Amino acid sequence: MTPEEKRQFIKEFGITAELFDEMYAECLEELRQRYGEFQTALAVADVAALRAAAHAMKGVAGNFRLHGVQGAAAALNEYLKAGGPLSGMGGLAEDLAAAMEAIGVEHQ
Amino acid sequence: MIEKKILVVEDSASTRNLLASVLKAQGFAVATAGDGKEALDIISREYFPLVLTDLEMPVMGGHELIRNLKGLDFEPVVLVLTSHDEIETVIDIMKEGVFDYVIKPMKADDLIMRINRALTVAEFKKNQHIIEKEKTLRLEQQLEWYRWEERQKTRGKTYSSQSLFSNLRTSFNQGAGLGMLVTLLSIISETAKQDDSGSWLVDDEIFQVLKKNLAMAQSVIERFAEVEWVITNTLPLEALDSTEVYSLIKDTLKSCVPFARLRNHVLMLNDYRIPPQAHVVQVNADFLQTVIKELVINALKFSEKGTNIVSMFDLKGGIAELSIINVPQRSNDEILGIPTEYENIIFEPFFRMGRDVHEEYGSHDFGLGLTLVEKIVQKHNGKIFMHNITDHTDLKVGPQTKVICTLQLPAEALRRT
Repeated sequence: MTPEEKRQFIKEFGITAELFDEMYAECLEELRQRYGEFQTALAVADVAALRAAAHAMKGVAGNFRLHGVQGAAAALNEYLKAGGPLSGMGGLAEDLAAAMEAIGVEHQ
Repeated sequence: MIEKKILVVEDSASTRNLLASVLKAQGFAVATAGDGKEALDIISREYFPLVLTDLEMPVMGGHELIRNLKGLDFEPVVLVLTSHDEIETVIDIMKEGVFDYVIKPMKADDLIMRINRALTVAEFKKNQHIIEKEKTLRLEQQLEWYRWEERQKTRGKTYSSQSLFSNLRTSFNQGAGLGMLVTLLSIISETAKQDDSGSWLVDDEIFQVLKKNLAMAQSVIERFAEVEWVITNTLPLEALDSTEVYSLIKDTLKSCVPFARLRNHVLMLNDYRIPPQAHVVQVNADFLQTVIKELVINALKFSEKGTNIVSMFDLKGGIAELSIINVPQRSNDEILGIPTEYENIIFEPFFRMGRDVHEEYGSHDFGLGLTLVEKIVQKHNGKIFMHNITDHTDLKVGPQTKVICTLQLPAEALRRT
């Protein structure tokens, strides 16, 4: 999130910068946790858990205007909802990994 | 007035905290739950007019929560917050009877606007529920009243004629208009002095008060004439569609807004959806406006400062019904609202619940307004009731007395051609 995006967010939601920092850290922690769940589900090919994790990441990232993660998680969610095979979602999973890296959340 | 109280149900801690912070900053009282089960637990202890819930949650999701809320005594209005933006999901959500939905990512302005709208609906919904709950109780009380009245009659005197004469006597001695006029004339006859030319000299101050009271007395006589005219004449009625009746109510409420501002009252009217089958109501628009205005002004005069006057219009089994609910303030005579023993006599001429005077509303305070209202309603073949109801929804404050006035007019369904 750029400083300008942060400023806009604070203005829109009428919160203080301190509160934003606190909630943003909480958001990143939650994304890290959900991404962990996503990776675990991927390892055991649990499609329902994959979808649940992608869906949750899309919502959390969207609320905090993390558009990269939101878009990548939404694309994965759509792909899985349409019944796409796990073998064919490599590119989408890589997009999500890249988006997560961009916001400073590393691979587990 | 309904509390701006919201229960936020969301499993994502960051989203939950963001929502709570934003809503608190906007003056809402907020409680949070991480899933549907936790939410039901909170609701079992405390009433929330509005529940803002996510759908996908562990333990108990939003769909199950919504189904469980349906069985509650006081069902909250539900607003769904979801990442699902597919049209089928949205339709499914609405079919479950939720009021509205917000698609994530949420936008602060949009969210607040929808929440305020939902809280307004919650207020109407709550009042509607209270009315329904009171119906059984009222039937029992009504029966008691008839029994009591019968007992009085068998003793050789009717309560109504007794009260009429006693009210006539008190009303004419309440310090304004006719009562004051008599007093002033007594003072003048005792204190006025005659000058050399034989003319009578009257103190200027007394003369000014006399003039003011003369105007009051004249307007009371005009009101008498109005009541008499309604009693002795047939009102020309015209068939108005129920939506036109609703518009007439809406316009009349608008005309009452300046009076509502006097003591920071808010006039509220429900949305009226066009019914599947058209209904007409036989009304005299001018007189019906007089009735509504009189009832609203009456509610304003006797309401707690800064409260809502809630009006609800609906069609129910061939009846067009307007209910006006207000939060009464205790009068100087320590009367709250309309105690049961007064329900059947409040429409009698000169009957007044208290001695408070409300000149700022441009009313006479002679106890003729509701008499006129009742006579007009009778000429419409309608009915009117006014009584106290009890709101049990606020557990912190406890049972709260409100006053409801229900106006019923016959409505006829139009045949489809």
